[in-house]
Amino acid sequence: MTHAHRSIPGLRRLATAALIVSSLALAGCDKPAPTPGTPEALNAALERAVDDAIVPSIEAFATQGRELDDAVESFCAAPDAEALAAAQTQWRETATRWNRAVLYNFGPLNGDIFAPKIHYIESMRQRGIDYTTKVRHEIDRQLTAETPLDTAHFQALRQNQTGLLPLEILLFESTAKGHPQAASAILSDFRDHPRKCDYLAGISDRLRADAAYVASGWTEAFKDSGEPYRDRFLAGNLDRGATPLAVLFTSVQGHLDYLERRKLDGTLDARLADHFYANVTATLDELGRLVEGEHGFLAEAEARGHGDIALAVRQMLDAARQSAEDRDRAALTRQVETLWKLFREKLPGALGVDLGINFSDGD
Amino acid sequence: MQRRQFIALLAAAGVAPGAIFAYRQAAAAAEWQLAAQGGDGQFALSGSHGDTLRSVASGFRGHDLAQHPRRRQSVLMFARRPGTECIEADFVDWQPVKRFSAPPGHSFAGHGCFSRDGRRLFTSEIVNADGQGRVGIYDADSYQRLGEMPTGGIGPHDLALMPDGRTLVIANGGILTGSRTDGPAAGIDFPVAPGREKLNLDQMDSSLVYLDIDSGEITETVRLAEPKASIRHLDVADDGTVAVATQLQREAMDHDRLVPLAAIHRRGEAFQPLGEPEAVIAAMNDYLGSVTISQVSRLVGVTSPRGNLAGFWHLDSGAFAGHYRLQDVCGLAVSADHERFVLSNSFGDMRELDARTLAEDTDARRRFEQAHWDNHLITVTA
Repeated sequence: MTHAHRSIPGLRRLATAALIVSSLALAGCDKPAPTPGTPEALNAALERAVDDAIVPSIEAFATQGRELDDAVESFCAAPDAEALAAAQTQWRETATRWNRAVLYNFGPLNGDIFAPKIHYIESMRQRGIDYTTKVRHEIDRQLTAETPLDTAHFQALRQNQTGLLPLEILLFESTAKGHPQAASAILSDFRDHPRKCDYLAGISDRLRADAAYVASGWTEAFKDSGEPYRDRFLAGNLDRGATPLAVLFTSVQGHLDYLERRKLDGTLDARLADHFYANVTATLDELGRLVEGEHGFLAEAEARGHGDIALAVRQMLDAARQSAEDRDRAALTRQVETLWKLFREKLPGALGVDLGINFSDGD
Repeated sequence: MQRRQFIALLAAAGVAPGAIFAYRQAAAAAEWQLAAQGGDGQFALSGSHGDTLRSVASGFRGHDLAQHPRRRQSVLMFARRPGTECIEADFVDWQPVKRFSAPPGHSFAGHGCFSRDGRRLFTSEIVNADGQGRVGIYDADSYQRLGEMPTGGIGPHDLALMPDGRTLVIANGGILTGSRTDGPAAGIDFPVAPGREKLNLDQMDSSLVYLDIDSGEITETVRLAEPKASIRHLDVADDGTVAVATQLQREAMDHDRLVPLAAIHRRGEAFQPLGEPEAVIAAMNDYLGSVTISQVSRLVGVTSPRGNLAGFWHLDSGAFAGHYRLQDVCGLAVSADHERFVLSNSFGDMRELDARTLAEDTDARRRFEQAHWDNHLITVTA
């Protein structure tokens, strides 16, 4: 399909023009909302989710990644307590935005099975393994090494040495014995090791580039398709035998499963920045944004006679947010597990979304 | 329209008997891919050939299928555990032929195979009370039960006849499944009724067993290094090399390391795990649904519906050969000439890959909206 479009540019321009004309025509009048409970309404809910939740979250993460890179550059230009605090704050903001975007682990975030961007941004997402010790060793090694810390060096790093974790370690602790976290200790560490800022800047730049790649994949061109992934996704042009709704719900439940089994029931991350529970809250907020709204998935579930399931999702989101605020790990674990089940079975079922017999109930 | 109706129409229209015979020959010679149809309660034995889709209602959820070696138009579909039924159907006429059931107190485990002479049928069965495995032995014409043999483990699943024609290779999944009941059962410290709840993950013991079909003697038992890897499915190459596919019981594991999900076994040797590349293993989410060997390319393929991914390795070297992404992919077969891998999912998608290069024949892509293919796929020609 893509090649056909490329080989007939005139036709493509014509189609684009027709789309613009029809869009303008629609904009000139009140487009009636599709009747709830119909396939059209479900498609409208999906489009709303993409344009009001998914793409904004991906773009917001890219923006915050860029601002983190800027904050790191400012800090390295004048490494004082104020600039360090600003960079730390920006790391937290970037992590918050990431924990919203991470729900959408398809398309540009995992288009390459051998080098998915999601793993370069959050190394723990691979297997729930905490690479803190490995990252610390690599930082220690690089502080005294003589190899150039250029773009090629950072592009060649393994997934467990890139992304938010090394940035957190670089910004929130010293390499000195015991890894003190006081600002004074961190600042003196940067003064004592001139290469540490080079390393920080390189990792930050890599994160910025990865986040930008994901955002441009959604809004400009996905891989070599020449099309934004947004358009391919909504058109169902996924080349994997999947429907967009199945991909979305598979991804969301997959992240909830990961969050429950690998983090809450395993190893908490973002501990140096004391930001784990804030990250979970961000994920819960994103879930709410994804499914709520006048024509959202929960409204659609209600229209299809499954108000009980919509209510269960809302109640569980509220309870989980409260548990995150209370830092009640045990309750939060149970609630995220319940949310996982709701997004794996109940809500897709209420919407008539088939995630696959073998995926759901294999043997 | 059913084939018989079509032939009747041809006859009524005065079409020559020779033409009818030619049509029947063509239908019989055609290569079909068959699978259990699940979902929506419309359980059936389903088959596709080109753009044609046919089915025979089964009334139960099937799992794997086996072509009858002496009645080439017939195929058997075995109930998914803990089901108790099996149906023989004609895939040229698309009619049910016979039905039979597991004996009282036993469940089918979804798989079966025939003896080399096609006189006996072997099925994997579970004794409901304690999960112990049995190979059920049936007359392949009357389906009268002739006897049974212990599989040497709990929760047997897939089984196949080795090239020597005397040995069955059996995957004992090692997991006691069922539901707790009010009364005690022999051999275990709590009562069990048929069901799918996993009841013994702390003590699970999966094994690959070689069993003499005449004496019932277990001649070899091998285990994987990872005790929480449940060996579920297997396929056998012409030279007797066995490929197995596992499902990890991660919740019962005491570590979080990546574990190979597929392995190769040769008689008298230890398992050779297919553990690389890690990215592919990780993407398979601890779960494989099917395994199939191409005898011409000696590539082994596995599918992971939880990873939406199929992976392929060289049987002899263990080297990774490639991967293919398809949502909910689970069914995996080879074409009759073993030159193509055929993949299916429960959305009714069928894809074909060159069994040597793994290049997809995109012209062969098909989607049958009404098809909801379950776990396994086989290729048959009458």
